[in-house]
Amino acid sequence: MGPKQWRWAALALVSLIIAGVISLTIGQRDSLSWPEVALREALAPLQSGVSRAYRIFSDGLSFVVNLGNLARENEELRKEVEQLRAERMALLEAQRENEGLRQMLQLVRDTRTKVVVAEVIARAPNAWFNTLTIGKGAVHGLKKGMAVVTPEGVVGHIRSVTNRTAEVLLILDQRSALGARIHRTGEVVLVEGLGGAGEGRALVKPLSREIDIRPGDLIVTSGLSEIYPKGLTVGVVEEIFEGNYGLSSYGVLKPVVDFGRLEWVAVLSSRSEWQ
Amino acid sequence: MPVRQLWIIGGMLFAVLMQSTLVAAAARWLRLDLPAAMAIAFGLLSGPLTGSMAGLIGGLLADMLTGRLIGLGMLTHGIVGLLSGLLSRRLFSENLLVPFVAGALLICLEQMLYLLGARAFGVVIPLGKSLARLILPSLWYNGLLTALCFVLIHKVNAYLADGE
Repeated sequence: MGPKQWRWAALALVSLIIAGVISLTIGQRDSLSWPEVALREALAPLQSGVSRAYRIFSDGLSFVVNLGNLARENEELRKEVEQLRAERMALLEAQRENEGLRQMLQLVRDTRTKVVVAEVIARAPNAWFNTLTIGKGAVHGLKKGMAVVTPEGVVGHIRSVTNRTAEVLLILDQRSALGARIHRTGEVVLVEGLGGAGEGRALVKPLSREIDIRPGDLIVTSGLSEIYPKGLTVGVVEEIFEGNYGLSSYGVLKPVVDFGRLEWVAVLSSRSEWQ
Repeated sequence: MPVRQLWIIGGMLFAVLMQSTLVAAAARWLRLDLPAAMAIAFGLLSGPLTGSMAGLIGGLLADMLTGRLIGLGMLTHGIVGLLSGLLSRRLFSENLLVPFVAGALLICLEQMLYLLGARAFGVVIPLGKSLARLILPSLWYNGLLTALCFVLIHKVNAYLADGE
């Protein structure tokens, strides 16, 4: 074989290897390869540092920008406080009633669920996939499959962990699918991510044609999966559209969590951990 | 390792670090692609070999942080780095309009190649919708980003040349 043929053979071999690696990393994997772990571990302190520096700068900038509006805002807030005081009285009464109902329905959250609060240190460099990296990992007790939430609602679940970082698959990602319920009716639906082209929205798929889904419906976790506890807010149905041939209706879900502004998240231990 | 090669590796590592932190947080609604912009700028300034090497390194690092379709981003970034290097042989690349236009078009090409490659491996991301709503609107600011990278790399290259 001449040098030209050797070159073509080498090119073909490299192409085959690359195609093989791409094929191996298409879907869900049990664990990360050691170069990935090493890279993520090495970059984590830098990512954390840059993210913190940006946050400080961004907060400082917002403060300076908003300085002029403070006096006007102060006056508006005074009025709002008066109004809120009146509303608070009414809410306290409703809360007492709500507490009683919760106990009756046994909806009190399971206190055995462990919570680990973690800082968002990075996002996927590839815009077509919706993942983020948090600054806690296996040494903090985090494991693959744990739910990630904020006080507003569901963020996603842990896809992979290294010692000090974890990758979170957002509910917006194409690979994400979670069981949920329509809060108004209790009927079960599937929430699927639309990926990078979905512009921050997810798809709500009713499990049967008869399910009544409307714009404005609140979608909460069903508690049927191993990952998410029951009753966490996922999002609100923004619009309804007909599927192919008009056989089914789907909803477009606007998540309650603002994924672009996420700074801190809470990781919940999975059901198998606390049952 | 020669300083110039360290600069390419360090520059691409910096680009991926910034892409995963600052760019993703500060410009979350924009589809900026800093590793691609850097690879194109390297190619325009130093030729096809440097451009493709920068693209391959940046793409691979970004792929490893993303954890999916590892190698695809490496190939697409490598291709646009190579093309920008070939382009530099035909155009007078000192004019800032060259990196602006090259960056806009080549990053658009890189994203299209990525979507087509992903499709070939069974990962379907809607092509028409992505092109109309995400890729085409990103043309001008990715062009601008490439021009900025071009100026930065040009200055560092000049500094390194002085040192040598």
